[in-house]
This record gives sequence, C-alpha cells and structure tokens, in this order.
Amino acid sequence: MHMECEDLIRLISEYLDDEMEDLMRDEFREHIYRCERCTAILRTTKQTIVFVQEIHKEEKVPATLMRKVYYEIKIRSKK
Amino acid sequence: MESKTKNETELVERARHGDVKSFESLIEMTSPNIYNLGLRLMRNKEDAADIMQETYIKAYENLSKFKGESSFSTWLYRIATNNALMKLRKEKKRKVDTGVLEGAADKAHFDGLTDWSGNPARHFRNNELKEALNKAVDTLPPKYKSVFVLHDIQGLPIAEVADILSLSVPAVKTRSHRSRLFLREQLSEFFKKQKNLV
Repeated sequence: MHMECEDLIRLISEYLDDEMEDLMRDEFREHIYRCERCTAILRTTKQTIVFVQEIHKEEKVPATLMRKVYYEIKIRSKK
Repeated sequence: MESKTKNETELVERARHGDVKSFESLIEMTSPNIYNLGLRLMRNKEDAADIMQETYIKAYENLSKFKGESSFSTWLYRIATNNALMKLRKEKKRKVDTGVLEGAADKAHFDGLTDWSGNPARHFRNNELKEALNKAVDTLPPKYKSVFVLHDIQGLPIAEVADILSLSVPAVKTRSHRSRLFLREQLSEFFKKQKNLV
C-alpha cells in the first residue's frame, strides 16, 4: 500500500501517540522521508503540542487553598 | 505505580470508614493534578481554586458511591472535569465551530509549505505567540478542549481520558486529532502574519 498525503495527515496523531502498528509506521516514515510538505505538517503538529505544554507548566497548589480545602472537609466530617 | 494504586485504595478504604487524615492524604497526593487541570481548562486561578474545592467536597460527600471501578484519581478527574465543563459552557468567550475543527485536516493538506518548528527556544520567549496559542486553545469548544487538556497537557493516556469523559476511545482520538490540527493551523497563521510584518 502506498500512503498518500491525506492518509498521513489522518494518521499523524496515531503516530505521535505511538499507537501505530509496525507495518503502518514503516509506511508512514517512508512517506515522511520523501514528502517535504508532510514532514513540515508532522513537525509543526508536534511543536504545537510542545508549545502548549511549555506555556501550561505545572503550578504549585497555593498553601491557602490547601488549608481551605482541609478545613471544608473537617467541617463535613463532624456532621 | 502498583504500590501507588495500592496505597490509594487503602487510603480510600480508611477514609470511607471515617478516617479524615486518610482523606487529607488523598488530597495531598492528587491536588496538584486537580488544581492544574482546573487552571489549564479555565485559565484563571479563582476558577481553578473553586473547581478544586468543589471536587474534594463532592468526592468526600460521595465516597460511599465510589465503587472502585476506575482508580480514585480517575474518579476525581471525572468530578473536576464535569465541574469545569459546566463552567466552560457558561462562558461567553467565542468558540470555534465544530465544522472548522473537522476541516482542519483538509486545510493542513492545502496549507502552504511552512515549517516554523525550528528554534523552539526563541519562540518560547515570544509573548505574542503565547497569547495567540492561549487564545486558540480558548476557542476550542469545551468537549474538544477537555480532551486536549487531559491528553496533551495533563499527559493522560487516551483510554483514561475516555473513561473520565465517558466517551469511546475512537471519539477521544478524533477530538484529540482535530484539536491538534486546528491549533497547528492557528499557529501557522500566526507565523505567517509575523513573517509578513518583518
């Protein structure tokens, strides 16, 4: 089977999530190797995810919020 | 991972029998995930704090209903996500039409050949890029945004996202794929505009 550009675009997420079967992955990579346009789409999709992860880095839970939640639970445990 | 689950199960069992300290330990273990989920879905600290507080109160009050069919963390994620989805649906912010998301794949196909993936370190310092990306994520309809945040930002596997949202695995995969391509397209537009400005 020869993979076309539209097949590749449809399968990008499966490839990025590492959920592709070996044979399909080989065909995917073979297409990427010879298609500059699909290489760009794959790279920019991957980069988009990296950017979003980068700007949404984990933040620490505020200590005041932790205290508030513990307090709310304590009140309810006494009911 | 197994001992973490075992520990979690034991704590839930003790909390169910009235041990508040055990429930506090569960809060300590899971709160970074729940708080950050709220923050990433709502993008403001007040709503994230409300979601976290409401999630633990609801979980505590419904502990007897937790059957252990999924992990306690997954159950918490479900409560928190449902809560956030209700808030997101009330938001007045403009959302992109589902048809646009469905068409993102076709658009990618006909997109000009622009590869802006190089030099990511420079882009990380670009505040306009951050703003454009946040804006794009905010225009995702809630049912897409929740999948994208849970899978691509919280890093949860597709199957767990499906469990949290009570969706099929193929439905999660479709929403995740469309969201990614849509955001990619929005960034391509951003870089095109920036290039024209130079």
